[in-house]
Amino acid sequence: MVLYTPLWMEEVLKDHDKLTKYKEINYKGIILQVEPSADGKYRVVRIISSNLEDYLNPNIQPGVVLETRY
Amino acid sequence: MSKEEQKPTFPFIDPVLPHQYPSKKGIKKKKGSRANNIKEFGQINIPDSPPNNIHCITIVGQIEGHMVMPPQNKTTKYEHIIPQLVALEQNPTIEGALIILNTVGGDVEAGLAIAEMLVSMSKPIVSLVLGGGHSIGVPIAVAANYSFIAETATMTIHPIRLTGLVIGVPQTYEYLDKMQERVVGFVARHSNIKPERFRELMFRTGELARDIGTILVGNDAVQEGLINEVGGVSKSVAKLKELIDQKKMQSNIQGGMLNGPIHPTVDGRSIKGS
Repeated sequence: MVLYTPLWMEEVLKDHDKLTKYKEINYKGIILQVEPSADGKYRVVRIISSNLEDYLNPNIQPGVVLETRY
Repeated sequence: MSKEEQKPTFPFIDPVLPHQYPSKKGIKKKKGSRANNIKEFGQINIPDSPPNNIHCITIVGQIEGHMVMPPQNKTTKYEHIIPQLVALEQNPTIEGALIILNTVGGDVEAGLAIAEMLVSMSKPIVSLVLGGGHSIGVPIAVAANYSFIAETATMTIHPIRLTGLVIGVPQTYEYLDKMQERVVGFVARHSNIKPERFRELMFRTGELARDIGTILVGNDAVQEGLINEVGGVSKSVAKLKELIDQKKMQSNIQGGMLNGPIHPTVDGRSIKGS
């Protein structure tokens, strides 16, 4: 693999042994990047969608805590 | 009882459906989330808009390809972008797409894959470089039918390095050179810059503090023929609508049968700066 970036390798590869705290879930067909919290709920971090309407949906705005069913 | 009362089931999440939230509880919740948004992300909720025919893909941070990036990188993954592009291509209600770039480059193969996807789409694509469209962001920006760059946005053009950013297997100079030729060739084919000029910008000394290469700011990128025009969101959306209308007219003339090129071309190369 070749990286083509003006950043330095040390910057890009810093903490390469750490795992990401984010998860991806499918919320009604929309991929959401979420941060799981200790109480088993997910907080929306990022919406991964090309549909602009999804970004206007108040239920999945970044920062919203999704109700989970565990 | 009635169908309306049945909530759709989903493995993890119990969503509040749009027709459910005008209850007192729902409104309270919405207000809470709004306050939370402002507190956490500095964002506010925007009122609903009518459905539209344009989709938007943002390419931010590192372009992540064959290798998972360490967690401190903000990334755009090609496994997200590529299916989105396929969906855009086949969905008849979507007529065009806006690609917003603010990227520091990343995986060469993933970047070129996205760029090739954009080039081969039959629907009008407009790209807008905001902030930065560096390294492998350059081919993605030029892959659109029409490209814009914000006045203050920058594009860094530099060689694919022999040392430093090569990870994994031992690489030979020839291998990197080939990689670089793929990028130079693609950019030259899909913009107005000559390959010799692009290579010249790549290897220029004295502009970057710790590297060789060139930083093109807004208008410089337009003058070099890489980008079509300096502009922002309103110009990009207006251009996209124009291209959509143009394509509709063209397909009307052709009896609505063909998905021909929607941008005037000479020998397959788009006419830039028109």
